[in-house]
Amino acid sequence: MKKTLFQICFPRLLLLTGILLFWIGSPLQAQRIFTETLESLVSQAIEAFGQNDFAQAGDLFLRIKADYGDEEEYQDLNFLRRLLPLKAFSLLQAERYPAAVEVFSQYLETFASDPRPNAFMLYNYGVALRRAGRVEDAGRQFARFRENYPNRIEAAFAALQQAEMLFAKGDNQAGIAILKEFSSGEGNETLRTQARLVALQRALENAAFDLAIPLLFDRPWDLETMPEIASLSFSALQVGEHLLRLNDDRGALRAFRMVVPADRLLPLQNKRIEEVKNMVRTTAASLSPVARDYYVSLVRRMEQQVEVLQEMDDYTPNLHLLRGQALLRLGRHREAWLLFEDLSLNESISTELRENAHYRWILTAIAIDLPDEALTIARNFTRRYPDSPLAPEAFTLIAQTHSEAQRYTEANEVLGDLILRFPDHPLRQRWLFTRGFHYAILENFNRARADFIDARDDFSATQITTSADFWLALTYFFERDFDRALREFNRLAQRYREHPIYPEILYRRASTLYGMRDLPQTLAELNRFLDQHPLHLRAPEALVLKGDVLMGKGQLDEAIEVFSRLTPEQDGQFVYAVFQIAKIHEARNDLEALAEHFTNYASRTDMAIKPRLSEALYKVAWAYRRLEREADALPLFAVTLSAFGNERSAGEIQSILTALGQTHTRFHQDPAAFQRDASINQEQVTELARTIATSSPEIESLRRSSLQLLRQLAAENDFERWIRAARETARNENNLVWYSRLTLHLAERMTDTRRIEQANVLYLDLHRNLSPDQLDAPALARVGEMLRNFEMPGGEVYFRQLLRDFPHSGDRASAYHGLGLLAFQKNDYETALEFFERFNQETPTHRLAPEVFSLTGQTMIRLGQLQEAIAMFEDILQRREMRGRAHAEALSGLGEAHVLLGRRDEAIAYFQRVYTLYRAFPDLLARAYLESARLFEERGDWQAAYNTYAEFLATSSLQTSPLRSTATREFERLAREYPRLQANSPES
Amino acid sequence: MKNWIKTGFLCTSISLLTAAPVNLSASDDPAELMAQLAGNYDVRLTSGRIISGELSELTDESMTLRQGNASFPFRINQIDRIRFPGTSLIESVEEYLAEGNPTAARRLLEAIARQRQPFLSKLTEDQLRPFVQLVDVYLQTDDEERALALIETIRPYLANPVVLQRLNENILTAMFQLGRDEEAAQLARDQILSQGRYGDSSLGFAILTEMHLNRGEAEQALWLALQPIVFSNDYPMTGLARIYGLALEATMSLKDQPQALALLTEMEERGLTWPPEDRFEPVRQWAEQMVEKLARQAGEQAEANQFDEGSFANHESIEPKEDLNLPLENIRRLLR
Repeated sequence: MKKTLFQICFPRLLLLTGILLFWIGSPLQAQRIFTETLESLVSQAIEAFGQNDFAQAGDLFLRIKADYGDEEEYQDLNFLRRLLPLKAFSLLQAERYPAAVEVFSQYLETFASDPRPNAFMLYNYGVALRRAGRVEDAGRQFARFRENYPNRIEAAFAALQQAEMLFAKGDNQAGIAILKEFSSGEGNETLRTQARLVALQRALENAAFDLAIPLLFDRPWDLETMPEIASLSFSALQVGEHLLRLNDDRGALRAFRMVVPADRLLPLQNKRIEEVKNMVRTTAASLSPVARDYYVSLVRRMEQQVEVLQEMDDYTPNLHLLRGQALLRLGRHREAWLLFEDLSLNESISTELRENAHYRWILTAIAIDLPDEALTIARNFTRRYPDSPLAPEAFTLIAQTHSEAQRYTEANEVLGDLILRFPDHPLRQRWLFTRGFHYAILENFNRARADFIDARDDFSATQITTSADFWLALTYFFERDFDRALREFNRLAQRYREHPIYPEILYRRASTLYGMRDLPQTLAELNRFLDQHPLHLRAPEALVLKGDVLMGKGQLDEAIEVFSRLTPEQDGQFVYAVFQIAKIHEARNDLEALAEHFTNYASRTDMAIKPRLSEALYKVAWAYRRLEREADALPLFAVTLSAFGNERSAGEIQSILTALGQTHTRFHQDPAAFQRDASINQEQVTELARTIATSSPEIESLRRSSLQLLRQLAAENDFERWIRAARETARNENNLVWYSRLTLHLAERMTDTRRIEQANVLYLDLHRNLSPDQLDAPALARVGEMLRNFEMPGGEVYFRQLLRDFPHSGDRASAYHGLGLLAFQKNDYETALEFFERFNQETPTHRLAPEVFSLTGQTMIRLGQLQEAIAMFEDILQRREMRGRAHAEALSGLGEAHVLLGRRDEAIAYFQRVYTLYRAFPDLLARAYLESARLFEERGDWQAAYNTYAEFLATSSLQTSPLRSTATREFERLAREYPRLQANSPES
Repeated sequence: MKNWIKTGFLCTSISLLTAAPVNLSASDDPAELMAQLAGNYDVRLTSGRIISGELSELTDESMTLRQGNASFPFRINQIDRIRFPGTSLIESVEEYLAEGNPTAARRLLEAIARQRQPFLSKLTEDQLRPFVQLVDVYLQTDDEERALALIETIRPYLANPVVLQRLNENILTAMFQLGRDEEAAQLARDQILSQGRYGDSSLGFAILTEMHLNRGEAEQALWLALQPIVFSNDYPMTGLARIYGLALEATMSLKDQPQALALLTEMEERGLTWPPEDRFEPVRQWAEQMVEKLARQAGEQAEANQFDEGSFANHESIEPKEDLNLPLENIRRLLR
């Protein structure tokens, strides 16, 4: 009997081994207990059980109870301990759940005094209760099981079951808590992972992201071994999308990394299915039925996931789009680019997705600051998706990028494309306005006005309409056509009286009147503006303008009073006012007041940063020197140079070095005085350091370096040698801005003393050893000029850097001149004229003005703007400060312009004035002779032509002129053609 | 001629036998080693007959095992399966490798390889494993020529695609280490393209990246290094830590601190540690110095880089007829 039972039961359900062992554990005892009939019924029931015929077994066990339930043998506890498990399990398997529940319950009550309830009975009691629909009771029994058997594998299933009960009941939180607790315990790894995954899925099904996110992130998942890798991928994708919506881009990326791409996931999931199946096959002998059921259902689920994967659209492109978006927002542009590039050019994905990716690719290129590449991608975008509403947006973004980088011409190219290609787009008015705005910045006012007019007139009224109208008026102001500007502002003032822009119009009208030098009217307009709109954004500017007007009217005290109303909160205007007050003191030659004024500015404690402080300190020192207080100037120079010598934006450093050189010379002429003042200097230096620096270490450092500088100056009686030494130290200490300034100063000194070659070597040193962003405005200007003079490449880089970094520096004149000249040499006259005109308007008093004015006229001639050129040359002739070569060039230019206008006689007169009045400029002289002679001949006045050539050839300063051979050839031709001509031939 | 001779293993085997001596510890006594390798062979012939005994004679075509006074000669091509003495040495090899002592591991592996080399065609994948390990060890000890020769020798006997892929990568590494950049670059590209976008090895990218870095082309290097980083997921990828290290080296050259910080943070999230090569020491130090400072700025940076992308609309596009990829050719960054 023992053998038969083993043969029947073991291979079938191994967990029942224990139960059956109970039964057969003491056969002799059994024989004693059973009557013949009871024994035969039991045998039949066990046989049915062994053959998995649970319905039959259940019936038989119920019959046993019905027939023999009252018998003493049946009620024997040992008998029941063996019988009831078989009966209960048979009924459970036969799906007779209420009956099964009753038997499990009977068993557990009967043997309640056991140290622990029987594990098999307890677990399956829970199962039976659950299947009988008694969910809460089932949950309690599973909880009881976990308490009693926390380390058994069934505890995992109990946890899963218990959680399922709770989920079914709608108590997701409790269910998830159970799974979470179990998954972070120490049980079977696969089951713990499974519990965590189920908890995660449940949390997501209920949109409980607060629970799902920690479940996903708290511990790493073993993607290499976990079975339901697909489920994890789906869940992680869901969490990632949620986090992205919350702008938690880093969290989203972390979740997305857990998603395995679809074409990789499918083979992986299939592989895992095989691995689980194989594991079940090879360990079948040691698996409990519960575990086996679990794995069977696991494989089923995994196979279902594979089916889903095979049928669903590939989620990978969408995943990558989302990842790209997160990366883009995180500033990880290159990685975003890679994803978008991949998607944009992937023909196998949906058009919609590709289009979105392509658009984002453009954004990425813009973000990396690759505008040309962005443009290429955008153009490709519009060709692929010509009807996409994103196309104009893409181009708009590119234009915006160009604009922000001050590449206005490029921006306008893009805007031009847009205006042309999308005539009905809602953004068209904005494009027109923006293009006009860029033209205005580029000082192409005619084009700007055309765009502003279109933006104003071609659309129904919007905010842009007003702006366009306002900017239209501004273009006249910028162009210095103040009469027209005033008319426009008057018109605007009428039209927009009730509009928020009205005060702005009033302010601009005042500025225009100021431009017209109508000071009384300006003052009246400003007073009106300030009375009516004292808190307007333009009020500080209006105050400053009022101060300037009063200055212009000579009401200096009133001007000071107005400027003094500005406060540091008004930032730029305040600093401007400070320097204007200083100008008044200087104009009055009130040097004490000037020094005190700037000393007060330097000592202010209500400004974290004091703009132009080096300039202010220089002026104080300058005033001291004028007041013959050299001893007070010296420490100021030392501290200012120590504090600002290496600060690229600081101004007047060259002036300080020049002044310092003079002071140094004077002190070394009287060493005793120098020695005497040295002790005073110490205190002054300390005081000044306290004024300039903020923290104690900074004060101490500045004090020490300033005193060191003074000591070096005292020890060295040759200022140039001191500069060389300081330059060396600056280079060694990597204070490269300071190094460049000392180098520049040295070069300027050499230029002043006609050591031009040595000066050029120093400029070259700056060019070769420093980058343009290590040079201040004067250095950029000088190096750029040197390169241009020697026709070496690179000058343009310095000029452009100068305009970019120091747009308000006086040295920008060199950049306008240099860039204009470079464009002129390349025959790009439009660009040349733009730069020359900027020079003329912004820096007309610069030392290069005569040359630039003349070049402006020449450029206008080449552009066919002959009347403008004539006006320009005549303007030069009116300027006494431009006498000399500029006047000669102007006369020559006037001659040229009149030639082109067909006014031969006027032209001859101008050329004659050149060779009569300006014989010191052989190049102009030679050209004037030749042009005159040619014009004489054209007029038929061969004698005059002959005489003019003869005069050319007789002029000693033209002996080496490159035009001499032309003059000789023409002279001889005339002599040959008209042998009767006689004149002042060179031979005679 | 035997297959292994045909494929050039003769040269390799000679060099194996004459490999330079290495420092031995007491437990690595050559005599003991020889004793372990000279134990009993178990051979099952194709006829089903099983023979055990010590090796008494071995020629190109036959071998004889001796059991006491009895000798059992048979032809090598009669062998169905063979079990070698001294298999416990494999464990020692694993220990040496785990300790980071490739020199000691090499000596043992070379001895095992000498023992097994006459039977290459009869060996199982598992029995061939020491040869594959020896290739790794040769590369670790900068003996690339030997590694390449050995790969050529054993490759015909291997079928496992994972092992073959590993050998291909070893060839790539050897070429690169030998300075044969042109060949290495081509192999690297082949490796990258053959494994597709989601391959499980970043070696090809690492080698191309390193080449660019060595030429001072940090921008190109970074674009390459980022590709396996961006297309990988948490499923393990070979060499990922190294590619992060190289990407960081590029960011250091480019002074791109935000990108460096992002990579460092991600390395940590992915549980990656700095690769051990000396090459990464400067970048590791640089990264440590800047990480604290940048961490403070990272939030602001991310905010500053946000874009208002507007909305995206659904619509159908017209299928392009011309090659629209052409204008993009010069600006693409993905390795193709």
